[in-house]
Amino acid sequence: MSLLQVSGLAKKYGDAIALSGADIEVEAGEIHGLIGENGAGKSTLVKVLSGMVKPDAGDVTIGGEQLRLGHLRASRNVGIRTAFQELTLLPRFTVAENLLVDELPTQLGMLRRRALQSRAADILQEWDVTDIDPSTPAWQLPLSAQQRLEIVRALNGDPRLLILDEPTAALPDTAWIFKHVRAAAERGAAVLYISHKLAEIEELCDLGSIMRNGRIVGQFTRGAFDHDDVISQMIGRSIDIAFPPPLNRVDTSAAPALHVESLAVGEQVVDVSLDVRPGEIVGVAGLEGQGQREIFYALAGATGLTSGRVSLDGQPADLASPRSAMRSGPGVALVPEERKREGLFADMSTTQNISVPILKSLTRFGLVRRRAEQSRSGQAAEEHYIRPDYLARQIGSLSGGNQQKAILARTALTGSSIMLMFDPTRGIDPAAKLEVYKTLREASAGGAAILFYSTEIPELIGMCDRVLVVYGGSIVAELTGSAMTEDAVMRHAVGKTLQEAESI
Amino acid sequence: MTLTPTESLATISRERLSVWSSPGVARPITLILLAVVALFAGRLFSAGLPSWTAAEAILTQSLFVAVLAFGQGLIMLIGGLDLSIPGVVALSATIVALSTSVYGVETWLAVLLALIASALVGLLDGYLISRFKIPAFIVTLAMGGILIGLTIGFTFGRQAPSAPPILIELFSGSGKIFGIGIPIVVFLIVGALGYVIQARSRFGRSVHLFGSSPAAARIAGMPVRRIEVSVYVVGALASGVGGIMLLGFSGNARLSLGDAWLMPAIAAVLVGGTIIGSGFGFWQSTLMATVLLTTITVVIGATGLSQGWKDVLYGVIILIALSFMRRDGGALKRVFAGLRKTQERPAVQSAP
Repeated sequence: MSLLQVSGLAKKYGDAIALSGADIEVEAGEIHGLIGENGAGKSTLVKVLSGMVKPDAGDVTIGGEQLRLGHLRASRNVGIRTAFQELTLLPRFTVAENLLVDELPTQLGMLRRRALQSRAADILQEWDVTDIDPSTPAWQLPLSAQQRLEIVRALNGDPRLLILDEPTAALPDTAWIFKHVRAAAERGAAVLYISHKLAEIEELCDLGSIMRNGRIVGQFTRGAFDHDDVISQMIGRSIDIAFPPPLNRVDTSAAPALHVESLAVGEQVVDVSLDVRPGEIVGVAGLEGQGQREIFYALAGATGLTSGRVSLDGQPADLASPRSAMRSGPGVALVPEERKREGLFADMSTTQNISVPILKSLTRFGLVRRRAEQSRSGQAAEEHYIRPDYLARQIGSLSGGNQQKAILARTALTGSSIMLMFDPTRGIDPAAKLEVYKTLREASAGGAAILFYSTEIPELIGMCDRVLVVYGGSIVAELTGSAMTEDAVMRHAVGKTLQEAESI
Repeated sequence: MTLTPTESLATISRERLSVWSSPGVARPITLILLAVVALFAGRLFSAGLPSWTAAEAILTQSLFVAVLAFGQGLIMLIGGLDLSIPGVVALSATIVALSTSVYGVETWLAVLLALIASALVGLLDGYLISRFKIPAFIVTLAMGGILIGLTIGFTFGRQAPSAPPILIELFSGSGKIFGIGIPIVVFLIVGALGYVIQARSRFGRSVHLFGSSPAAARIAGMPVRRIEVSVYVVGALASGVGGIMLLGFSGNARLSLGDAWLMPAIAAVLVGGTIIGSGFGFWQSTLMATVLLTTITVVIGATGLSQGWKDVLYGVIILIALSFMRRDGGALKRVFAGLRKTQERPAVQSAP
């Protein structure tokens, strides 16, 4: 009887399927690896086990006892401890308070500060963390220290089931975590270890499962870990979408429209250099959290950059804000990651969502000329395959695909010829995807320089002239022509060096 | 696609109904109908209701609520709240009254000075809110207090200076154009102007877009800082205008001139269906809500209840009104939805 038995877990968020019949078993004392592409359902599985998310169907037993699902306290009480990928520290509170948040030492209802400090110091020492002062507020710590704190919190409760979701995302040194994870397993804990990094899984785990489309699709054991096999199972089938052919040839001798040299953003991006020429679509691939978002947002002026030189058509770019980026030289426009929050004006009509960048030119005597607005927005909508009867509707009531097409129409109206598309096809239906591809092709034929990030590798291969792979905040590979294959991209994305990748 | 006669009829009537049931139309109509009903219901308490005199008084008072609610509404659209209304009203009224009655400044110049001062207050509010991300209600609450203090300083604690005659003529209700009270004419002008600014101008559109999603507005390249600050400037200007009108209405510049009008202005925006920080709201609804709320006040005033019970009743009615004015278009939309079903039925039945 395994310590952890999960059977038939299913969970939908709206139309998106996160889990569809996931089964997994982990023995006491076993370190079990879990890998899969972005959106495979790993994080949802973690959230279900931790009690943060209630599944639509399925069972979980711990030591033979049914776990009450969707209850944080219930999961905690049976000894499940989780170090989350999105760290759950309270930023305004001190390290000590974060560590002891569940059992703050009090006397007559008042916090005993000295006891809090000394107990926290003991805990940190017990887990070999010597460089963190318990009285520091959590937000002042570097990301790697925050990550260790999150892990210590999970380790410290003497867990029966220890879940680590991407524990090394911000932690370059794995020796510390491996030591303590192994020790926990020796004390009899079951460990679920989730990572994008194959080398770590291979080194640490006794057994492993591969997840795809919300269920477990394959297993592997220590010693019989075949990278190629695992990677191909991670990718799985790829639905063949006919990608529209390029409408133009890239002039490889042309000067780059976007030139980036030694870009650094906080701790997330280190030394990224890249070029995009007019008419070129350059893909960016990478597993979640490798710095791709920060690259895109910094280039669009949406977040500050730490250092680096960016030029547009040879002129230094002004990236102080999205507005100044848009007005700088040929202009940079961003299709943002979070469509709902950063893209949509949900209560307003599709027309009004599209016309934002040209409002000024539509204004006479301070008033918006509605006829002109309708015709200009209508034309942009038509070019982006949006049905005319959607124009008057509230954009919040349209499907994700139509919303995204409207955002693309708006982006086109900015007149910017450098377009940063951050996962523009996320969560939209195949027909809308095809239309997004077509508009990308048309924009690039019109001379736009496009930087295109997608979580779907086939899409990058089908659409891009080149693919850059990011890992740990820098570009680790540039693939072109026949070298641009799913396997190659995935190999680099999971952090294998060029030599290793070529030798396979 | 070809339509059979019955089908096309159903389509057309549905489209027509959908205009009437859209929140920007259904809500103001519902509100003004409720105001009329409330006025006639006043007959139960007083033989003097309904009457033309009462209606005139209601519209006159609605003017002041409407002017203040216009600024408040814009600020609430972007997620703020303006608690400095009494302060700005007192400041602007005092500047006008003091400079005309004590220093002998021309009225037009005094009005201009008051408006400039109000705009500067808004500029400072907006700067603090947008630059330092301090919640608007804190900044405006503090600003309101500061302004009252400054105003006491200006007047050296003297008796409230009195209003220039022209303002009394305009806003006390004594002056008439074609037999209609001037405040009522001004109410109509304010209504039209407010609609043009909020619904039709680029400034109004920017406010709605920014309120709907500041993050999206920023990514889309809008000058978000400038928009946010200008909302507070326009809001304070509206309060300043309100202060000048109230000065004319009451005859002298008391420090408490604006106190009684803050809550009705907030209530009108909410009853009008504006959702705080959503960019969703219609000026015409706010405008009609000012009439409804003033009517209710007048009718409750006629009940002869003690002040405590009047306040309780007013509070209960506001609660009921708010629960009716939901996002889906409110009561009238549900009525039309029912109507639509009965109209569609024949078309469905005749389909082969």
